[in-house]
Amino acid sequence: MTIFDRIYKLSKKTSQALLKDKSLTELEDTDLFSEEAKIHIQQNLSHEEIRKNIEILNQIDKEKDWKKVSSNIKPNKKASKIQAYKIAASIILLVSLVYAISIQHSQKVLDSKVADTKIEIGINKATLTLNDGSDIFLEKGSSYKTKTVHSNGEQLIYANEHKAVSETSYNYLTVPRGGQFQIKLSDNTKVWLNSDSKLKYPVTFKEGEPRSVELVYGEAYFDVSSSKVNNKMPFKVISQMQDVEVLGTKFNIKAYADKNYVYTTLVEGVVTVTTGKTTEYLNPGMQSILNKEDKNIVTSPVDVSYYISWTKGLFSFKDKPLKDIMLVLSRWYDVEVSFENTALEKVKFNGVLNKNQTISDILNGIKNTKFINTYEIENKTITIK
Amino acid sequence: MLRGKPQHMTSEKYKTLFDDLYPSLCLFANRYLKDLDTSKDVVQDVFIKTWERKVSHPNYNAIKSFLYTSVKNKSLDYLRSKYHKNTIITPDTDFYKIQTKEHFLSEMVIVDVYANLESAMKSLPNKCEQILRFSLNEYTNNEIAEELSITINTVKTQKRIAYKKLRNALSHLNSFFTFF
Repeated sequence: MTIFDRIYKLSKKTSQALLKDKSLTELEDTDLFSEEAKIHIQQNLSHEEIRKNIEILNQIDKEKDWKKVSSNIKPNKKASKIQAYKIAASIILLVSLVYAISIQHSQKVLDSKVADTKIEIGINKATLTLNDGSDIFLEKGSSYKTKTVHSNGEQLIYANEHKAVSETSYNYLTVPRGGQFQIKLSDNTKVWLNSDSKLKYPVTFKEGEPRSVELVYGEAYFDVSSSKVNNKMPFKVISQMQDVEVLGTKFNIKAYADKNYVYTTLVEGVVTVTTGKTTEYLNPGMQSILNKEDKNIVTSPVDVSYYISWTKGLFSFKDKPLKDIMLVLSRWYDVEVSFENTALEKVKFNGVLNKNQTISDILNGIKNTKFINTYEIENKTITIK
Repeated sequence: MLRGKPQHMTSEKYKTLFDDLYPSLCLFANRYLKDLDTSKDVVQDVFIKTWERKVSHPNYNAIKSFLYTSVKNKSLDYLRSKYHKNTIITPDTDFYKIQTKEHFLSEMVIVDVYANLESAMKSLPNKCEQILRFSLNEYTNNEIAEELSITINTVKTQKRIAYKKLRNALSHLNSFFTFF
């Protein structure tokens, strides 16, 4: 019996119960739905709702609409209305932020108040926390070197060792707001850490055991070295409420503590995303979105380039609300953002931003689209108006 | 039951399938799109595409499920493309929720119940059906009697017959679907 057969059986029993004015026991007892969904169904089966919906059913003129369908089900038809909608929507897409920014009108539209700004462009910086709890600050221009690890201030590289260790010692790498960092683990796996992110990992992976690291919070892009050269040991990333297991692949995980969703985007290979009892397989080009509240996972195809561009010195946005864009920028420029008019939070933009631009360049670009009137910068707070 | 492959289905049979499922699929699409005209366009498009693709289905339930799934996907696609415009949109959480499988299945149950009740009513003799429709529109027995120029007792008797017939109709609900 397929899930649909079970659905039809349930709706038949429910229809019968409704006509007999009996309680909907079949619905109450089913394991097909959560309690929340059962309440949703019951609310829609009140007398009032049934009456309203049967009325809509009766409004539909089958004969008239069949003529539209039957004239189209012979060979050589014209494009359907839905296709026309899609074309219209993609034309609208062409109006994009990238255009506005690349043009960079030199004349200023409306004066933007910029007072006492100390806002800097993000740079490579991070704090390395050793097993004994001591902190080492890494930044462009500084260097650090021990037997197992060295850094030039731009990235951290662990020695590729295969010695048997009795006790695993862990290091943490914490990237602050306004920073980013690259790390090469002892199995040659490369990890890019975005602003405001923290990774926990063993100094050396134990032989014969799965390689496991933890994205404590934030965003990271993993280029995992193949399990073929690692005694077939899978690589596992633990993050908020989910585990991702892989055999050598490239993927991005975005799991900020203050956001409700965890995004896992696969570039190459195959990964499994597990939360509780649910496991989803991702193929390249797929993204899973885990809802931290109800632990539901939704997967859908995405353009992965938008989700990994941050590792290549760019921020790319497609169809993103300004609020989400400003959140990403606030981490890179270490600023706070507030909206005077909250309706502006939902205005959607496309765009490619260079991470080396100043925050004012980007804000002027957004302003030039005329979707926002102006902005103000005071200390480290930006107000969108 | 629908036997064989749809490429062997005549357009007359396809019409029967359309008659049977088109209104409830429109109602179903409308629950996502909140616009009946767009919903009709979506469902017509699905019927056209399904015919073109000549997808093979082992039985009636399978083709029904296929149509429901296609209408759901098209409706969500439409909503997504609508969101591409730089306009103010509804909160993301709602849109997230309506994309879940559980939401899809619960909407299927709801719409299938409406369709069952409607087709059970259609199976009634004219007078019974008329009286029941008045009653669903919250007319009292008195008002129905006045409207149809019959006595209250006739209304009551007809209602009793209607409910009895409906129960029978529903216990043989599958028989509605055996005309293929």
